[in-house]
Amino acid sequence: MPERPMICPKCGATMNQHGEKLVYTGETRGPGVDPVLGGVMEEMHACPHCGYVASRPAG
Amino acid sequence: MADSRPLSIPVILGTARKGRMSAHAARFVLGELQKRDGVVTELIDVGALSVQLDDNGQDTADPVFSACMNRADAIVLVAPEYNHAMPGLLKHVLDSCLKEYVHKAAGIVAVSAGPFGGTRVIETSLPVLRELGLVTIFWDVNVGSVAKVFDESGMLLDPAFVRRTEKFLGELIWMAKTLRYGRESIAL
Repeated sequence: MPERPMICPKCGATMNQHGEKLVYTGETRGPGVDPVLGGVMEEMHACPHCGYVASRPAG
Repeated sequence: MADSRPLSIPVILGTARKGRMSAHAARFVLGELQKRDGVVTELIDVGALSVQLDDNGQDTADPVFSACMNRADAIVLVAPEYNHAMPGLLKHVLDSCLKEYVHKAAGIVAVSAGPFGGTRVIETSLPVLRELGLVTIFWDVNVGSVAKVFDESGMLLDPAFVRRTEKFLGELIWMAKTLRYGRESIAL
């Protein structure tokens, strides 16, 4: 079980984190910017109940 | 475990050009998808979307498009070849989402007026789709010399495309099922 489970905004089920995606921002520092990877890491989540997908900044 | 939810596989018609022959290919693939059990589909016409021209990037999508991509398990891109690449409008529309695509399947139906069957739009689209987080399949549908494949009304003139599309959709559906299981059941 992840430390911060994401709740599906559509049906309320606990979502599954299935991926991470680096979003390049052009900034090397600032809120959410990973200075090593050079962008903001977004967690990708999918709902096993209704299939809805959502993301949030990794943290 | 059987999943009672049907797969959602929209077909994206990737051009707004007047007289577009790609519309015939899109409607043909849509019809073939509609014959499949356990699949729901719809046609997304990029020319009918509300496209923001003064901004682009994640979360700038037409809400109809982003909702469709969110519920999709796979997408079929019907892309004509314009100067060796996908139409700029299609790229702009695709760039308006991100999270909606990750770990979902994508297949390309390439359309060209000439004899090369859109091979170059496929080759130039693959890295784009990969960066968007989509998982491309190894089957394509190559519609070369499109005016010989469909007549002006959209009737299919070359029956070989039924068999080719069957193989393409078989692989796409397998990948869509596999990736749905992974997205929803396998933690990173």
